[in-house]
Amino acid sequence: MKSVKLYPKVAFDLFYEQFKWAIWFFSFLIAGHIIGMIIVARNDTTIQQFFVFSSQSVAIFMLVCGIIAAYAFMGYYVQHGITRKDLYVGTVISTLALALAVTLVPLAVNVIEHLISNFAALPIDTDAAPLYDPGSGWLSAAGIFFLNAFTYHLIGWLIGVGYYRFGWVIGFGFVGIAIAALSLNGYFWGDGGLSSVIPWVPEIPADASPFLALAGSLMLIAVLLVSTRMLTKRISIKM
Amino acid sequence: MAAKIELNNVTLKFGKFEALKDISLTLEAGKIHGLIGRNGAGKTTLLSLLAAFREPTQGQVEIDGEAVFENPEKMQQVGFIYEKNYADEYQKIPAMLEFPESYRPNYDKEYADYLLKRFKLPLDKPIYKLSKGMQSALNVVIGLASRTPITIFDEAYIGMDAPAREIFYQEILADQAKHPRTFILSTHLVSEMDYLFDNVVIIDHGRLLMNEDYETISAQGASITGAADQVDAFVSGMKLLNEQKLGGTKSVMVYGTLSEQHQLAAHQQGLEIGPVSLQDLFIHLTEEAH
Repeated sequence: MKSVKLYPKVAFDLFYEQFKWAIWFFSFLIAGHIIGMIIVARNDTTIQQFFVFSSQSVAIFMLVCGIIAAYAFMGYYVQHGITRKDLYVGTVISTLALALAVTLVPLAVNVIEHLISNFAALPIDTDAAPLYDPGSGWLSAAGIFFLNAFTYHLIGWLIGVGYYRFGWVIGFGFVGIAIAALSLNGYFWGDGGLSSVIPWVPEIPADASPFLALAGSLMLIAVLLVSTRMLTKRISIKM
Repeated sequence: MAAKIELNNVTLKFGKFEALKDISLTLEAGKIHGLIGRNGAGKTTLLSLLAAFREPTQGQVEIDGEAVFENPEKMQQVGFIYEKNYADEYQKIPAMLEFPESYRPNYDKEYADYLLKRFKLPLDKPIYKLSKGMQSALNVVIGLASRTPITIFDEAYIGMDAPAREIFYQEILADQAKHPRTFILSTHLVSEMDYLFDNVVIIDHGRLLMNEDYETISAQGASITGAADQVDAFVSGMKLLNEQKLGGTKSVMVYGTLSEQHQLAAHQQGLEIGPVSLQDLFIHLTEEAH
């Protein structure tokens, strides 16, 4: 039997599975945004545009996906003869793809909202300031959104792996590590960033330059990637 | 397509507890191996090493001479079927089978469809709604249809009724004739499954008690049947494993090989000599070890 590289297939399957979850998630989120628009229109106020509106929920969605990924896929894939390494590489690739998808979908919805608002007055606030410096442009906003989504999934994955491997007592320690990682991530991307998602994360005033933020964020991602690999490299599969 | 399994001095510890103690054994390719042992003997633990679910604390687990753990080629060759919790499995069977079909190179879809029909499994119901026996039958379908060179069924029959188990056994033998592979069947139902085994591995308390082909094992004892008083006289001094009496006829299982003289004597006395049952031997061997 020829040995074939399985991680591309694993990556595709993992992406496909989680993207199905993402479709459900965005359906509800879009419905929520529409309902929100109806409510604010009656009160004569505005709601954030979809890209800004969805940012916190997308981050939490990615966190949850990451936690589930550890439990839902590990035993299943290894039982079908896939190595931990192929699963790991496949998970990382699929997470990149998923983070890209959950960035592009809100962008697309946002574009559609803008197109519609050319014809009909929508009660949306086009100011992106609550999330990102509007001066820096959409590309960097999307880049930050993508990095956040990716980081949140990795943090969720780390929590899931921690619980899977060590049980709930030590697993709880991983929640602590995750909170630290989330606050660090929030710190890099400044106030009004995603650190406000978790209420007990200390608000650290961000004074970092975009370059430092990017470098710090990438380092955090690298640490998360290495830790998860080390924890899963020789992990025992639960039966 | 079949593969040879070798364990060299394998020990597995969970903290201070030794689940497997210095096990060395070879399982030949293309045979049906029965793995028997009492509850907690270490059967599932041993099998989980073969499937690379975990690493041994010491020793090597090899398939065709290569370590199995994190070996992509070897892991792909092992199918490990065990009782799974399907309480949260909302998929239906056809969706569930897409996975082995996609990841197992020798998966045979036609064969899977045939097996689904034989087990009368409903394709339109979510798996969590199926009965325990049906869920087990689904596991069996996955294990058989994947045609992995090493296929491990760890008490895969749990919850299956007698007719379903019979289908399971028949299909193992039928597919083994057409597409030989290395089967490992771990079981408690020794008397029901012994006819399937080419080779028998008995473990107890994490130690290997025996790894012999079926004939050698059945020759380790004998059953003597005949008139009760004659049988009693014949077996006096022998190690008795089990006795059954029906009217004036008695059947006794003894441990140990019968000498030619004994066999001749039995023949002259009109006593019938047969092989010992694996079940009786198993009970005896594992009781002795306690």
